[in-house]
Amino acid sequence: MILSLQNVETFYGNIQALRGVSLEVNAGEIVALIGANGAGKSTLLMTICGHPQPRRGSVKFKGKELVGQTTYQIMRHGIAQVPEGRRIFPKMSVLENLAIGATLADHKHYAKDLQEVFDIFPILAKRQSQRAGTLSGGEQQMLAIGRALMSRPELLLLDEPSLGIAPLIIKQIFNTIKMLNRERGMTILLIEQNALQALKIAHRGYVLQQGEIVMTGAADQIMSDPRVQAAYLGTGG
Amino acid sequence: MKNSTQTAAKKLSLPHSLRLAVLATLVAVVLGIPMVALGTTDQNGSLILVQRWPWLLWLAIVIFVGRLFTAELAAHGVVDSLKTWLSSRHPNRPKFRDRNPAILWLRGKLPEPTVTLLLLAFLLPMMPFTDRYSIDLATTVLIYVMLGWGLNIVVGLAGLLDLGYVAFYAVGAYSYAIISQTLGLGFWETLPIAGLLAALFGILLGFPVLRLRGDYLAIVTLGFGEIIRIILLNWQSLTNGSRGIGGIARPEFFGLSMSQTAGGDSSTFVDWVNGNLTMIGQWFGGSEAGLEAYRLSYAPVHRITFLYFVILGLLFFTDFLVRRLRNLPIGRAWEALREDEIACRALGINPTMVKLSAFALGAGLGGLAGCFFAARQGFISPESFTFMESATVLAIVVLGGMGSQIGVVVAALFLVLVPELGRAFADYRMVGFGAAMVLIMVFRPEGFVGERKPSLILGLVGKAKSKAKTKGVQ
Repeated sequence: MILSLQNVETFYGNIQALRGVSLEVNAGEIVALIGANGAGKSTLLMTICGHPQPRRGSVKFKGKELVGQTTYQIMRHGIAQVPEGRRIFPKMSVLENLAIGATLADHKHYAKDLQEVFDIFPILAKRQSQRAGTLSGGEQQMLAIGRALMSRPELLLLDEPSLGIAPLIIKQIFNTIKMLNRERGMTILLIEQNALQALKIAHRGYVLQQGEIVMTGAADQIMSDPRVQAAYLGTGG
Repeated sequence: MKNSTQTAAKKLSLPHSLRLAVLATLVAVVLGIPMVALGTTDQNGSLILVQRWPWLLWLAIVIFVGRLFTAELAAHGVVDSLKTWLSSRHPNRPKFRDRNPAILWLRGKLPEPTVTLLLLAFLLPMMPFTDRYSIDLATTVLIYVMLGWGLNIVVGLAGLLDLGYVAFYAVGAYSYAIISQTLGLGFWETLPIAGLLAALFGILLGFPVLRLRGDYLAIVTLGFGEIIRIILLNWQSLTNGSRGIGGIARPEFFGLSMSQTAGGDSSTFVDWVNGNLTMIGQWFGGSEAGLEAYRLSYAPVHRITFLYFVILGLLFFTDFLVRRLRNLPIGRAWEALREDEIACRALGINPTMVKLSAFALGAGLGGLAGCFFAARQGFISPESFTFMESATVLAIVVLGGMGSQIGVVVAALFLVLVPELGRAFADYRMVGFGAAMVLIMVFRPEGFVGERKPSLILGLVGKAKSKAKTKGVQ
């Protein structure tokens, strides 16, 4: 178990966003966290990152308590995040974006890691001297993932990688995520509204509803649950 | 479709332009009554009111015709095409630097543009047309380049709007003035101390404003600049208040005084040169009379030229430092912080350290410039460190193009030289200066050098690959 959340409660002022959430991610698996708009998915991810800090509960990464640490300290333990809306550095070149991702990594891996990112996303190699802001949405998402990989993370947090991207590119990005996990053994916590896509590549899943985990289990088990099908997959009654 | 809208615009343009012209004239008349039509003059010690209604009439006519003319020009697309032409953004026209054979030939043969310019500046005192006044003026330009490069780190790269930059300039200047007079240290010993003290003040300012951005940060830094100035005014025992500090020691040239008479145990530069001349002459067996032609006699221009080379040397150092830092992770972190602070945190970058380092470094460079300023002027008072200075330096950074090293040089040249050249027109020079600023912001809103040069060019590994790909496409 690489990441574990125990009874985490997070508040925005007086509004409770997470109600005693417990969640586990084991090394080498993809865990999908699905839920409707406003269920608290992004809050959960941001709580792991320490912003906002949970009011109660504990977040442990490889046995170390993360609660109480600031975001940048948490990210130095080997967690990388691909933020919602990508948040690349638009005026800087693709290559610079990737280099910033490697700021905290050991410099001697830089060339090798860069080559790996270019192998995964060949389009980035082609665009490397281009301003990141001029990339298409899908390319920006690839850049955001590539930038996160440059820090050599042990756990990758992906926040809505399909947001605002053409369906064909979504498929490609999910294939890449799957490949990262199956071939490179990357541990991934995937947060998605696009439940079907996410559960297809995940090993296990959690369903979040109004700040509570209402269902958990193997991905195919969740996918075949009638309630989930009705609510998120649009195939039920 | 497009044609019909265009003709419609033409038909309608005249009444619209007339409306605009009437509006502008009304504004001009309202403003003109107190500013033009009514004036006060001094007559035998008492103020009397003079009325100049014909002036107002002329003003109204000029404004009306002028506005009508410009509105018509705009309506017929003249302004737009002029803009396109001036900013060379015409789609089918390659940029000037891509079609000028001289520039194409030079490309890749010259060092960095800033280094090229500094090397050219090195030759300035040796030019035949150069006199004392032009070297002095060039020194002023270079001080502003130094300040511009310092502030560029804070505003241009890290994106932290600092309106109180003059504070660090003042700290550097007063550090040198006070240290040299109380501890008796020379310019070269004090220079790093002044830089460090200013950097310390940069960190002092940085701490309370870490959480602020944009407008709020601007207000606090503005206040900080004023606080420093007011402390300088009121801490009489240390700074001598508004009377300032005079008689500040001049920089020495490897222990040689640049003034007419030697102070203390150091000899003067002129004596040293002449002494060596005699020695060299004796080696070659020349006669005293033959050497006489090469003998230096004291001239104030020596000192001014020397000061010019000192600031030029500081600029070489600063340029090297800043360009080097931009290519290091810290430089990229500054720019990343300007672009997106949250994304920086998510990548494990500590925004506190990044901001403080930008503040400290920018302030330190301002301190070096201040130290030089004090040594050059020989006299400093709080009056030299008003908000006007901060505004000028900020204008240099913005006008040059945020984050651009070479842009700062161009803008400093412009901002110092244009008012100076306009001296002949006395009263009107600030009007012309203001108009020039407005025109630049209309035609080049991103500054003289609006394009950002990436700090990294093609990565080692990607190089071969992307080349192969582009070849394949061709």
